Amino acid sequence: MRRWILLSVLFASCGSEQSLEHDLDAIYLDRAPVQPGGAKQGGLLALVGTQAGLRPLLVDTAFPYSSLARGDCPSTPGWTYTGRMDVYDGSNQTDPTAPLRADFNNVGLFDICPGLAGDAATQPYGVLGGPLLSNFAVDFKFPRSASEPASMTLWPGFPGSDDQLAENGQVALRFEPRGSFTVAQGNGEASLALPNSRVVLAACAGPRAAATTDPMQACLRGETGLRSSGENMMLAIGTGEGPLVLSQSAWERLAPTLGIAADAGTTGELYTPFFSPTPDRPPAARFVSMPRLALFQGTTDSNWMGPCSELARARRIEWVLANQANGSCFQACDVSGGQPQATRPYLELAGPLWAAIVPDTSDIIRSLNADVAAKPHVDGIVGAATLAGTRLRIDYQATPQGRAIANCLDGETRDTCFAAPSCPGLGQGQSHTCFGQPWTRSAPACKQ
Amino acid sequence: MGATAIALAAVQANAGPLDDPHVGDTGFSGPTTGDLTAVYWNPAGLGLLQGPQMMLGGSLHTTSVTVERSSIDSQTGTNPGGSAFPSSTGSATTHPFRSPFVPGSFFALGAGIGRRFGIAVALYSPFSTRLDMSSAADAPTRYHLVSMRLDHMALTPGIAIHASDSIQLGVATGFLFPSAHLVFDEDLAMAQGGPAEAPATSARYDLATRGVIAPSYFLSVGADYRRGRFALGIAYTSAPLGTGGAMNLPMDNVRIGAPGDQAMCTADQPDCLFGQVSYHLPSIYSLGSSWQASRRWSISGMVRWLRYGSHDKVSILISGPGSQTVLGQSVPDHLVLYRGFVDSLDVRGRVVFDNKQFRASGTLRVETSAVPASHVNAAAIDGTKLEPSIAAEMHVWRQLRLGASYAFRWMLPVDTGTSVFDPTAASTCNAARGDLATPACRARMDGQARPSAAGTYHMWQQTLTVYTTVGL
Repeated sequence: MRRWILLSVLFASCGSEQSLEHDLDAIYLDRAPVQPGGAKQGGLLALVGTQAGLRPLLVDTAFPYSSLARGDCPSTPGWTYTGRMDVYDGSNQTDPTAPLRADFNNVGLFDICPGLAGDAATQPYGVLGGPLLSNFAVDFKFPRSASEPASMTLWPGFPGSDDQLAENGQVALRFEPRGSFTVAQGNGEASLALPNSRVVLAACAGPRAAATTDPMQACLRGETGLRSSGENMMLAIGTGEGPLVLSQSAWERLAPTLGIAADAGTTGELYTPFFSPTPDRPPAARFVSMPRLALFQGTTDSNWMGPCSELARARRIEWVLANQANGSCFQACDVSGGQPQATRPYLELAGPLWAAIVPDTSDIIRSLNADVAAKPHVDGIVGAATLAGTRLRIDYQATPQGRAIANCLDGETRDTCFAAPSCPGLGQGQSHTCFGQPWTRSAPACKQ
Repeated sequence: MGATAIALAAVQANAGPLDDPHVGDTGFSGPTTGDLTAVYWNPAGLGLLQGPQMMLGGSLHTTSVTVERSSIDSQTGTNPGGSAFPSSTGSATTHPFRSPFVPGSFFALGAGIGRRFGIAVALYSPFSTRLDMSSAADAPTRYHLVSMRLDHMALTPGIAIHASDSIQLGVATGFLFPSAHLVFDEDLAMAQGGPAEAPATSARYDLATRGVIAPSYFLSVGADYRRGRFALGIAYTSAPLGTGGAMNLPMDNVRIGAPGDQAMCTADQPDCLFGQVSYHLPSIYSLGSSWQASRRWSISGMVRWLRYGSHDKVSILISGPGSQTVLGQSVPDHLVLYRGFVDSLDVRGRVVFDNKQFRASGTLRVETSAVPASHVNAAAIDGTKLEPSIAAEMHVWRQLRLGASYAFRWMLPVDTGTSVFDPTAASTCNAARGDLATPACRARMDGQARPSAAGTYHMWQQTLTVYTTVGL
């Protein structure tokens, strides 16, 4: 048996230079349903030019490759080719005169129909996946109202340092792209390596609610982890999926902290591009509701405590800043050398959030963890419906790591969306915009 | 006494729209010369250095521009029409006499080592462009340029080795530190079909870098061959490496003056705008030869091929507050300024007289335009250029040489004919919902959906340079 390992870069170019033509304006998109019969708040849908006319194109940051079926869908999966993907405005999926908004030529594509998106009636003919999107800084808008179209804007980069964006109330979450793995053709004749392009972030799932009007939470040195709530997870950002998708094992860790039985919820159908259902493989999933989710950076460093502990610290420091007039003080576990610790930027989403629980052996969870190199286990996907009310700019081109820049859209409240940029360890009298407010530190460290 | 040679000699002028064609040009330098300017011209020439030496030079450079814009229709902005413009002038003066870190300066240190190696490091500005046009609210050129400063200081160490008695090979790695300040107006009514170029519906963009920006990198390689009276030099200087030739400048000082003083930022965060400007720099091939015609006379010729074709546009991106403001709504947060440059050739012929104590040269330079006539606008003025220059240098003392040069550059007047800039493309594209299959939207994508720049452009430049070389 012959077997070739092809570099994805070569695959993408195949001797001709790829051309990515687009302007810098928004490309409007439709939404797939979150689940059959559900609201059209799910995966992002553009249109793509095919020989048969314009067909749905799923825009999915979590999908590990880009595909465009050369025939009708559904069809028998083909292999790879170097081709053209003409992306059209998707805001009206039945408009045969939709305007051409981007033209990707000589790009590496799979001749594969992806799985259904949201319901059995929404069959994309292709996926604009991570490898193509990672050529840009992609600006996604996820309006909460179904009457406003979602949009995607392709920029070559995004201006502003993380600190500058923080002063503007925007959260910059750094990540190392993941998802590189080797795929083989059905008969094993050839294989190729897919590039890293997936955005995976740390998340604190199901933390308890918090407000600056709550009673003070005491925390002695070394108790940082003890005072946290919620469950640490690693989640991919998937703009082609609808709900929050969690593996069964992740849910079994989370359910007790929420006080919910592990087998709670209702059985339903989950259609994602990762999975093509057949009569003997129905798209079964269990749907549950969870209160909130906080997204953090996907990278770690020597001071990283994990998302739930970082969230608890950020909330305590916010509480102190908000209550300085009442003589508040920084808790011992949040102070180092007399100065409060810097908080990590995070995006808190609340809802309730609709989550689909799938087996750990499902195609979607296995695909998320198919990296060639060993990486922290990915527990699921933050789908487009979970991101309602946010603007998320995935700056793949940023250095030294990619960054996901997030903020809440106008009209969102703290009960639904809260963007908390990093608050640096303020010295006495120093000021900075923290937790949406311009603060000057006057509070001391608490005495142990 | 009087050893300062206030000579009538050749040198420096900001040519092309970006390139400085006379960096380290003493009026005697080129791809075949073995002095410290070889760091720029051809690093192989460093192999001919003798002993340690230092070179310091500075150029006073002036640019004068006159633009006679064609009339426009007051509603559509197309040519011709009932709205005529007065003649508009612009100018720029640069000199390094207050700070050495500006265009026109050249500082280098180097040494020949054991007749085998030559090493040097130089600070100079290979690419720069500066021009100030009228800033009045109704200035004819304001939609393309109010003011521009685009500087690139290079810190470049180089080394050369004698590969044989007649061949030197050299390499230099440069660190390119950019800085920029760009001011222009944007016609916000264009997408709605007019009225054209009305000050009441225009926004002024003022973007500048702050502090020192992380450098880009480039590489120069060269070879030098000499046999008897003949010398031949060839060199290649890359565009910025690792970015496909692109420069991406963070613009940390951004101001947008929107109509009606609409606020871009909130009161508690007045400096909320940050930008990024992206463009491409050219790579350069240089070829030169010289012939020692007699004991005191030599002639030389040189050609530079500037690969300007990659400099097709300047992209500007701006980010603002997370909450919604007029930025990104009625005031664009992204702009593309079309450039559409083409490769140009810079050809020079030179005669040099040298009697060891004194030398003088006369040079005639001809450079083809990097900007097709229809693409010319106030921010990219270029045409076929003629530049005579003279230079003189004398040994003031055994180890000290002083030189000076003067160059006058005249650009043949450029009549743009039908401008590539089409103000109606913005509204036509808007009506087509941004359909890139339409010519109007492709024009908008490329940055051509801007007010017309049709007219006649004139430019003159003068450069006076003084320099000294000291043997250490």
